[in-house]
Amino acid sequence: MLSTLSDDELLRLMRAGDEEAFLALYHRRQGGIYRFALRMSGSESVAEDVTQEVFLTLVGGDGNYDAARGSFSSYLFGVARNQVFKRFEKDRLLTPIVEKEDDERDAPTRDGFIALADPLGDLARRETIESVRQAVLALPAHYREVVVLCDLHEMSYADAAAALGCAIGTVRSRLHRARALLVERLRGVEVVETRQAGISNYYV
Amino acid sequence: MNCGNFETIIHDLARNQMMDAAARDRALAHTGECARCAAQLADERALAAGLKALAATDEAKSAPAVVETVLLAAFRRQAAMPVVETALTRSRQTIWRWAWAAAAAILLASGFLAYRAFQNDPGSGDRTVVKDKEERPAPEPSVAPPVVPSIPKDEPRPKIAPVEKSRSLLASARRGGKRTQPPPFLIRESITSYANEFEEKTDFVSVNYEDSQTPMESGQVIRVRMPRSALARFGLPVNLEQADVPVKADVLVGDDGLARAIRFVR
Repeated sequence: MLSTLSDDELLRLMRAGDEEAFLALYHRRQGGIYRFALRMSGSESVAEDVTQEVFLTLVGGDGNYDAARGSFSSYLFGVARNQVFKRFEKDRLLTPIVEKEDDERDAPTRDGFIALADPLGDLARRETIESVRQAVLALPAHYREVVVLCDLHEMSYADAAAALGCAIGTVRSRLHRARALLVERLRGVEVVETRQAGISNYYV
Repeated sequence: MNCGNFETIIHDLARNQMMDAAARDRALAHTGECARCAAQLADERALAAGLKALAATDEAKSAPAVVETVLLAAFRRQAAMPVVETALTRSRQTIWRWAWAAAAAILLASGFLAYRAFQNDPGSGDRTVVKDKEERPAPEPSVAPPVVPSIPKDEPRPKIAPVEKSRSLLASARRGGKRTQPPPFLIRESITSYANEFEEKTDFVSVNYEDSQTPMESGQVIRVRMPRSALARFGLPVNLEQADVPVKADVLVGDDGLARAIRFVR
């Protein structure tokens, strides 16, 4: 029965102390939040922490969700995004300084979670997907988040804008630039692979 | 369609988004003519497919059960103390409300004290002249109290100390004189109301410098500061512990420039 209720109704019941409503809301939304954090950070432990923090915010009643400003889902992604950026800031101090290669110059220094791709080993489809994942992770954070929300989570521009707290036009322009960067990166990888491993078609 | 137009719809085209069918046909036709745009479309399609595959791969991933356990425990803790939390929240709100009220009261009190201090600031050279034709008639010579000794002619007249500044005049001076001075009756009313509210005054007593006084038709009340010893000359007690502290007085001066009466102000 609870599964038919909207997020807002579940939230209201949850705030009244209904445990079942809380669990229904959690089961409905935790996967998306977890995957968002995982795609943004590339780290499962960070994704777990972020998911926990997002719902703890909800349980503690510290959030300022306003249905008039956007959907509940967008609100949760916004909280998750803030938590991810907090972790970026925190972990940045723990990340060893490494020399950046020329083709990694666009990546922000705080991307300590990013593992560099190994194009030479990309021989199977699964590894190719992993390369795409690494290319996404190598994007600057403000480009990465729009790709994660719009392309991987298939969120509308309006919802993404609500989650990120920016204008729809900003989402569009960032997405355009992010996709161009991704094509550049993957094309560069493809050239290397084609030359060194004899793979003619990098993409899936 | 040119390359610029093609670039605006390439993302929708690569992801098979809903779009105008005619525009789609024109774009596809353009790829047949422009190798660069065709390559770009191929790249975009490959990227879209790669992202779609990545999304599908991760689709089953979710937070481990331990997260749910932790959250459920937190929720139960929270639900177990709703009343306490509510009371705490209300208490916090009450504290903040009182804090704001106290801050406002302190501000008001500070403003009032500053205003009072500004009013009591003794002047050095300014002189307030208040026309007092209607409200302060000159005392008749016959009503002079017999207990008050008149000052002999050969004695020096009481030295009139510098007059206190009027707050209105001072305020005007501090504003750089940009505003015009308010009409005298405003000053008078202001001082009168202030005096009635905060000052203790004696009655006017006559000052007989001459044997014959002509009736005074009009005059001025001048606020002065005098040596405390002047009190004794009018038969008033003098606090010797404050003998060096001047006293305030209002002197009624006729149009002829002679002082006709005086009252002391505390």
